Amino acid sequence: MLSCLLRNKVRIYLNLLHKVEGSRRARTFALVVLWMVFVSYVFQGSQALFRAAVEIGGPEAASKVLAPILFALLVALLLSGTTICIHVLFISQDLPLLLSAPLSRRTVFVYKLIEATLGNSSLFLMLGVPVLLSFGAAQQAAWWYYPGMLVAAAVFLVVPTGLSAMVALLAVRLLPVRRAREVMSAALALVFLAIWTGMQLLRTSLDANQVAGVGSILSFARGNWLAATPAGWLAAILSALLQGKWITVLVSGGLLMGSTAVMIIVSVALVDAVYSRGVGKEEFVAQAGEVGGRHGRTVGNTGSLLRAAFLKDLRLLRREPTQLVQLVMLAAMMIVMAIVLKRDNQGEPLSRLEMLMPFIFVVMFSAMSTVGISARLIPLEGKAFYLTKIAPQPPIRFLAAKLLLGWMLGTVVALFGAAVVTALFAHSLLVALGVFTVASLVCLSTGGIGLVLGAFFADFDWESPKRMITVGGGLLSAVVPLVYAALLAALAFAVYQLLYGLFGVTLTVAALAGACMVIVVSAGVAVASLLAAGRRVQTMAWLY
Amino acid sequence: MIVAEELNKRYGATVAVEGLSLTVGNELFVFLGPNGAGKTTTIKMMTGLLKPDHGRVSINGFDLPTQPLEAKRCIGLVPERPYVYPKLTGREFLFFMATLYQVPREAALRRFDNLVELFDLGSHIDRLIETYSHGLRQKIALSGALIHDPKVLFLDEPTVGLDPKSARNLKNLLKGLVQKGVTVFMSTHILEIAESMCDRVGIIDKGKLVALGTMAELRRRSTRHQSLEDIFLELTGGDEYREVLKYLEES
Repeated sequence: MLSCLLRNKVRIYLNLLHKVEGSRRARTFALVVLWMVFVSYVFQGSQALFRAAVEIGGPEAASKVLAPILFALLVALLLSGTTICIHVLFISQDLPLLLSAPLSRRTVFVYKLIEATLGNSSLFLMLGVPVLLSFGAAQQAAWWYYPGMLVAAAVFLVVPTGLSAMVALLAVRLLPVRRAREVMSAALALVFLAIWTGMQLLRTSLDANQVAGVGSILSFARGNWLAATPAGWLAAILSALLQGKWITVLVSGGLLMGSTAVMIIVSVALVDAVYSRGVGKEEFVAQAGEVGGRHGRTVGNTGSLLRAAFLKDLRLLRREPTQLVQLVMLAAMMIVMAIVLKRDNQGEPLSRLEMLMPFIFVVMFSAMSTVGISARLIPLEGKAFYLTKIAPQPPIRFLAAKLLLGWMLGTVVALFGAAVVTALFAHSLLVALGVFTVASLVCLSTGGIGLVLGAFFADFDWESPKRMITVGGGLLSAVVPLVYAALLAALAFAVYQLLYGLFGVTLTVAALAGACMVIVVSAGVAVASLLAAGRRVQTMAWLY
Repeated sequence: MIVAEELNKRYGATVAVEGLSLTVGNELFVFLGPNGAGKTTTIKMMTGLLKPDHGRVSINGFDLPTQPLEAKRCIGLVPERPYVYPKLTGREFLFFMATLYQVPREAALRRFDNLVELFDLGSHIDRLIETYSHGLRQKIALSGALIHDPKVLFLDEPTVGLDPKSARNLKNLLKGLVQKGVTVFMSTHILEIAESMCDRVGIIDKGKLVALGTMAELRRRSTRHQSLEDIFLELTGGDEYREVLKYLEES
């Protein structure tokens, strides 16, 4: 029966490749190309790291560098696996069909576990595979390293998913299913942020001094605690494969496989208990019913449309915290980048322009936050968006409320960033105020741009809040604010140069002229974008 | 009043609706058709959710393409699946709808109380809609469509998921609305409802309107069949269903 379910899954994957329209196939192809670019970037970076480690401390050091990297990956896989497991085990739409079929609960669970493992493998394919390949390549591994690596990696991948299934089973006993998924998503975002911060700090260490950089990883891996984790076992297997130490391969492989088997056995036993209570979306969601009692009792006035639409969007955003988590992540990344910059330039005298450099991060990240939020405020309404379409109001009014909300949130990020950077680099309050104003204006226009992207690339039929925008829209919402901010900066600089350099006006007048230009362009872009998004929303065909 | 003239809609090579002309006045009009016949597409075009490739729709004298806001002000819509904001409470949703349609505060409060009582929503109204069952979502979607007292009400399979009491309440409500001067355009698969409640019936098949009239008119036109079910099956190729009966008898 399990093989029948798996065959069906394979058929679904094949259909995704063969029986979809050309545009979707082209999108898949573009994604594969992007994945390859990313993988080669990770491969090159990690290969340089392993080569440095081998030069410093031989193969032993490379292995010690690999273990913490795999451990970080293990934690990330555990958290992403938990959100995937919650979805696959408790929310996915085929559950009623499978559980009402003459299949044992264990068969269904094992199938679901495989499905979750496959779902979780994308992260491993992006980060884990290039690291493992580069580990071998940096040490001129023999051919048998690569098939051995693939087998070990496949077993390693099951460990966090099995553990995730156990965490998911525990989480849904404590929290409503969707709330549990949201909590896990937030935790995952924090772990990614921590990993990214670590990578940034490591990169600067390696740039400055490779020995010190590798040393900082080795000091993390000091002691043998990592050796007692699946990450340590995998690192040991791979090192042993390189050195031909077959006994170590067998011992560590046995530990890895044993722990995988234990995970599966325990989670199968647990899931039996949970599934015997009955599984279904409504059943688990119903647990959330009582906590909603406090919501909105005071709502009893109808007010203006702008206010009502704004409050509605704010409530939807607040109760779908993934977007706010993303916002916090971008804000945190902005600060980390500024700290890294300060660390890079420690002890060196900085020019006035260099002192202002971290403010670029403030403008860039607040612009990115605003585009991301504004774009998602349209599909955030999900399939209920038809209500906006049939309402006897010009769509521009709803969009104005969304623009206001996106702008406000982006401005909060800008204010936070400007304050932190000012404190870090000891700037004057006037400079901080100027930067904050510019960033806020940029947020106004990027909010409008976000609405256009949302109107054109919204996916209203989302199950996971991460899928509100199509892949193309997601890429554009990352790139467009950066390009726009760069263009605006270039334009402001051109105005400044023209007036100050060519016409010889005073610095203050030139700066004021540049600021006026930013105000005019930002307001113009915001209005034009609002109109374009309104036009799109009005004419879009509603196919849900 | 709904006036549709020569409506056409294609999805790629598939013809969803072809040359559909229809006038619905102050009555309860039931729109029937097999799955995929074009019922939902027609309702979407009549409510402005889809732009027809060709043809026009006017609602209460307001041309939908040129006077969309005036036309939409008259419309209430309950779609086939009750998609409403899952992260709002029932109360928040209904007051948001009242604001959307600029219902005065006092009227909104009064209608809110009436609808909550009518659909027995009292104990659920302050919970997030995502915790509602399908039937409760249907009720809240219906309440949202009614809170602004629409002049034209579109209902796409409204009784699916409703408990018998709410279904009965809905039937009575629709009759009352028609008496008050509201135009009700309802698509349904439940022929018993159509037969017992409607003033006129329209039957659509493969995108074309194949029959239109009162029950008596349809019966007169059909020589062999007397019930709406028989007429429906005859017009939409449903005689094939007899094959099913034959198979069941033989097996």
